Amino acid sequence: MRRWLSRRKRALLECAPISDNPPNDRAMRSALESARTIPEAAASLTTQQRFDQALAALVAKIEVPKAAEEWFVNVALIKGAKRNWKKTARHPAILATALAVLVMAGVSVFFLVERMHEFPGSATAKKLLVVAASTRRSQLDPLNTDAINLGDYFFMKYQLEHFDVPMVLADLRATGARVFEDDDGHPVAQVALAESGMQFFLYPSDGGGARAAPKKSNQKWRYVENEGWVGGVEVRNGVCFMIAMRGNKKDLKPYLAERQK
Amino acid sequence: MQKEEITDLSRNLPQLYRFCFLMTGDAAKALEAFQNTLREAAALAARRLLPDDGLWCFHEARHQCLAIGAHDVQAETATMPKEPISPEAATRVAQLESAQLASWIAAAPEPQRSALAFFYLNQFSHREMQNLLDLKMDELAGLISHGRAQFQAWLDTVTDDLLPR
Repeated sequence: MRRWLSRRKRALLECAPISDNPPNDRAMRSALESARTIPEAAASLTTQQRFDQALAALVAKIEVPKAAEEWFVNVALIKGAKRNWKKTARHPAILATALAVLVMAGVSVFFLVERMHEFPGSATAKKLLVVAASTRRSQLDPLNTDAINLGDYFFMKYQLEHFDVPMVLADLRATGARVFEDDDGHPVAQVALAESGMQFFLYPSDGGGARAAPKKSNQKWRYVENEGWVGGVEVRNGVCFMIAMRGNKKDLKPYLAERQK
Repeated sequence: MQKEEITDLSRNLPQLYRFCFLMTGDAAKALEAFQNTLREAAALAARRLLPDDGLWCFHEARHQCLAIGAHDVQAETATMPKEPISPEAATRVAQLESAQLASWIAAAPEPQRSALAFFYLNQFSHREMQNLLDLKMDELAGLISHGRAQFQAWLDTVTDDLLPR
């Protein structure tokens, strides 16, 4: 008889309110309205409600014994504790949710801070610090020139444009150099310096190649650390320049600041 | 069905006793379950642990009724006869006593017994009953529907001779 109604509505109608008052529940109201549009379902619902009303009337006639009524007076003293915000906050579900939000916020902040320290070419810079640590002097072509001449050297020998050393480091003495390709096939210039243990690296900032259109200069030094080495990176004209040395940021930063003066 | 949200325990007491009576089918057991429920409420209230929840006392009363009835003869799970609800069922029900209805509901297996007791108190919405019984909508509907049909079959047998022919 009620086969025209959905399974959900049929289930709701089985639990239809006994009284004729409209229910507060929206789904129940909808089920009742649907049933009343179908004559067979409406008749069935009416029969059901009369049956239920008769039983509910019988239940309402159940007399409460005097022994139970005695409780009616005293029970006013029994009051449920109102849930205050402290109690609510200590609820396991709230605690779990708060913990999850904190963890997510922590992870987000961690990644945000990581991203703040990243810059175009920072991944390559970290890899090159490993190269710096493992390179032997014999792997480099011998050189004996001031760093200011390296730009011309790389352009003349390898046709690499903008592979210039910043002016603040131009007076350092280069003792060896080589050009190799990184994992992505982009050219990387490596320079050994007479100054103990220091090296220069020059490479395209974002894989665009040294011949990419010059970008706006970014003179700020950015630092990367890896395997006991530290690099100070400056991006200029689409080329990253990195000065690398053994140590950490605290060693390199004052050195560069001193050179800047 | 518009029902005011019942938060005050004292307003629930008559219905609470009726529920216990429907669950046990016996005035003495109903009173014991009713009093146990209120003692538990008082003990919790003294420790400020009584939830401010209108459903709590019915939840506890059900637990007390089940505990009291645990040592009684349990209802069989055998299939009971069913009949579709007849239009004259209301007339037949009017010939019954409340105790007869309570005895029939108390003899039903769980959780049908609790579902019928809550439903015919005419106090709870279907969502509240689902909450109290921890049942899905389909399960609750099935229990009430089968209860009606079984009650109708029983009603036919006990009231046949009483109807005017």
